[in-house]
Amino acid sequence: MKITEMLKGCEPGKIQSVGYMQIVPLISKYVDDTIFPPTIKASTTDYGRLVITNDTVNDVLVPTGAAIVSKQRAQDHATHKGAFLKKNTTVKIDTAACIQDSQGGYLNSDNGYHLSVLPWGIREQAYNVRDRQAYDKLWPVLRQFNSNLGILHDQGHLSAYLDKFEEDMNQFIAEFELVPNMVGAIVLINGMVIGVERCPNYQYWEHMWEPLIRESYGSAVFQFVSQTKERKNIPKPITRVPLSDSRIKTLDDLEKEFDRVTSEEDKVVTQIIQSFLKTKFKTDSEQKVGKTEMVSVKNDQFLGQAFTKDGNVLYCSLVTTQDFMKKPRRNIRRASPDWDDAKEFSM
Amino acid sequence: MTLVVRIHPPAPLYQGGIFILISCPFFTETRTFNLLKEASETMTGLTTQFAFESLPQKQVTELANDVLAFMNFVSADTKKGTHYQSQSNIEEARTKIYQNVFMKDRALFGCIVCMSGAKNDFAKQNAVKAFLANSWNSTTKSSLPFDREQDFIDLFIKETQVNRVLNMFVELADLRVNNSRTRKAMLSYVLGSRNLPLWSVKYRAKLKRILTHCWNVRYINILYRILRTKSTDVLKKRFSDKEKKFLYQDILRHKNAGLKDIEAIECIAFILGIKGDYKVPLLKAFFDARTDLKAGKSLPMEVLEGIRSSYHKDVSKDEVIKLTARKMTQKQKKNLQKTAAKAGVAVTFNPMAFTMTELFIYAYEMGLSKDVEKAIEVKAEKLANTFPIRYEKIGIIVDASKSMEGSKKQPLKPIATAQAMRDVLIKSASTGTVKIAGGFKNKDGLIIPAHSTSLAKQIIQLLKQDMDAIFIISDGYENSPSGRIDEVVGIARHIGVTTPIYHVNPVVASETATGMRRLSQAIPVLPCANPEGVALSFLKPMLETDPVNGLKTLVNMTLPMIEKNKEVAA
Repeated sequence: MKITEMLKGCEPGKIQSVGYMQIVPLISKYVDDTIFPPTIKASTTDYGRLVITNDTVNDVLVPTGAAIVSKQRAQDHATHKGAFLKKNTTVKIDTAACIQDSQGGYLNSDNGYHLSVLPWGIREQAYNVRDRQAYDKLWPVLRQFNSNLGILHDQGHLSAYLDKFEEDMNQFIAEFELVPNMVGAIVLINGMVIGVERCPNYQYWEHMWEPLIRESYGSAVFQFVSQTKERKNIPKPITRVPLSDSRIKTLDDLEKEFDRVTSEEDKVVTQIIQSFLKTKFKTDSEQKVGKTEMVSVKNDQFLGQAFTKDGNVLYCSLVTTQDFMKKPRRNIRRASPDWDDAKEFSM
Repeated sequence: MTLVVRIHPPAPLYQGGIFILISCPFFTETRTFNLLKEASETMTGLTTQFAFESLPQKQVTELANDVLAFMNFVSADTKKGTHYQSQSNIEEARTKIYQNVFMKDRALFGCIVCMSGAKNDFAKQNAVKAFLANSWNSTTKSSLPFDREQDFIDLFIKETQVNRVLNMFVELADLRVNNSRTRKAMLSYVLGSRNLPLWSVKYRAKLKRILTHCWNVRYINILYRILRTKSTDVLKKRFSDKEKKFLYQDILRHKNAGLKDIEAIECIAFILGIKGDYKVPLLKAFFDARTDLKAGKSLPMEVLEGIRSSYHKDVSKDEVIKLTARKMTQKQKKNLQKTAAKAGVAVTFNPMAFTMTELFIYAYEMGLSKDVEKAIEVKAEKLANTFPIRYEKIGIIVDASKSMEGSKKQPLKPIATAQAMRDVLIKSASTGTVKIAGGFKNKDGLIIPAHSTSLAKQIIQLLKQDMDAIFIISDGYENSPSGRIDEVVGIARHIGVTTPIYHVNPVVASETATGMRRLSQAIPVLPCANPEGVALSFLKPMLETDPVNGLKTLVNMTLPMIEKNKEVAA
């Protein structure tokens, strides 16, 4: 499987860029409206054992990295494995992880909860231990994640991150906008792709917009800022091409320069994205229901899950691996003028 | 380029009928606001209690900055959350921004609210609550005397809708604000109204809460006992002298001259929940409707609907609409258009009774009818005439990105305001060129917000058309990419383009210190929750450049408004 297959039927929308984050909207008219966002009931029967019930009349898809964050006096849980639930069915996930290291109690399905998605920085570790039955398997990485963000208390609680950064996340989500026919996005930080998301339809994407962009990918921005705050003069992202005022003498020049940088920004992002579109993924089947299949996918650059129906990928959620992030950045060649237009040297 | 500064007779800002036409090759804000200042000084001889000149420079600058933040906030604040901000975030920011001005100068606080637009009920409610809940004492700071504060309270209460005033009183009661000024305001408002019978049937529970707060539970119990014994036929029974004195002391001395004593007493008996043989027609209809729904046709629709749902469950809701169609308020008529059409009842409402923003929101739901379109046009023309600054040729950019659709609690409010403001701006100029950034139009030509926010290209295109001024109507969140407008405007200024550019912002932003999101530091923001309050925004640059005179102008522009209200009341 390749990303070209996962994003089949999608077209890139106009890039949205705020600060160090960019989003390339994925627009598609190929949608499946029979799959609904996860309006599910969640409970736990033991630590690490999550019971998810779909008591609606629609089929639902639980997203990869779903985190159940509750105000109950109970242990919040997360599962890396997404799941497909036909109407009026229940699935038991015994490989779920506790995401509060000092909270007792089981989740009650009658009470409400907030559906989040595990922060971007935790997703890889969650993927690596997805099959292990150990309720405390995410605590060390969660503590490390919170510690890196300067959270001193309740370091093993995902809710501590959500509480501390609530305002920042509100501000952060405010900057980006849903666009018509949007089913997903390619997310970049400082010019580097950190995730690829595709959903089955518009409503599903709208439902996942905040958990994904605000809470999961938002954490990547906070991590990036905390890692670089000691450094002075952080360069602007490579995807952000500034207007060159030395070229501009008139408003016509300004318009031309505007068009040039807009086009160059698009080309840079295109170049970045093209670099990984055809790399192959190793896949493992995780759940089969009728003609649908949930598979885990991995290659050197990405890992995550994809959901297929009748052989077409309707959903995928991929994050960039930490090893790939650490690799030296390949030079992205900014678009240069066409050599055919260059004049011969003369004096 | 010609710049016309117009001072119109009907607008309280510019009394004196001054009309100034100047030729201005390069517009400067200072020049315009000097004109504003001169105009405001000529219109009133009233002076402030303390001179802003006597304050240290640092203090006056700080005060002007707080006033600016408050102006920004109050001009766009609408109680609800926005597309970006939760209601609690907004509330937190509001408290902080309000306190900064209120604690430093209560009069300035009142002046800003006064200037924030006739339809800004929420700001007025907050101001009245703040004035009443914080007693005036020796440490109070205000540039106007105590009786001026009372004038503000009277004006704000008068200009606010009845249900909102009563809600505000209930909130004060819940906060246990029970000083004499508050009690007086409550009793004179409630009992002094000619509409007390109507209010009694419509707002019974609220009125009982307010009266109980003013008179205390013991007094209410005594009153209840007196009135209940007469309740079989209040008109025929006679009160003893002692009872009469008791009733006069707290009811009749406040009552409206247009109401008879016994009518006021019956209303109080009704509010207290006494069942009886009432003679006041509305009170009688209230009880008669329980057995015969048609007997309640004089009642407000929601009251009769309440009776129907309890006592006539087999009767359709449409019957209530038919019975009360003539008695509906303009707002009810507007809100009920869809239901009434389904019920086959013709309910006509007067679009002129609503703000432009409300009409646009209505048009989104019901379609843009000819009369609504006409009302919008007339109102735009009228508001454009109150504009202090008039350009010949303007460019307008309307941000129609997704975020302009507003919050779930107030859907489409920002884009409705943007379109209202667009129409007013077009009418204020000889020619106006409009560019819509993002979104698309529905069958009525109304803008449906969609897409990302990309405004910079439109700015360049308008600058190339040699406009006299450019207005960008946007919530200030730019993402394609962020900061591009700042770059474009910076370079345009660098190469000598001086066309004034204004950012009209209909949305508050709690995350910024000024309460308003900016597109660029080089573009002044004119906050605007509704076009009716935009005049206040034009004071802003003056406060930024000349704080002392800006503050004085603000006070001097406001005083004639409260004077006029006093004259009308007298």
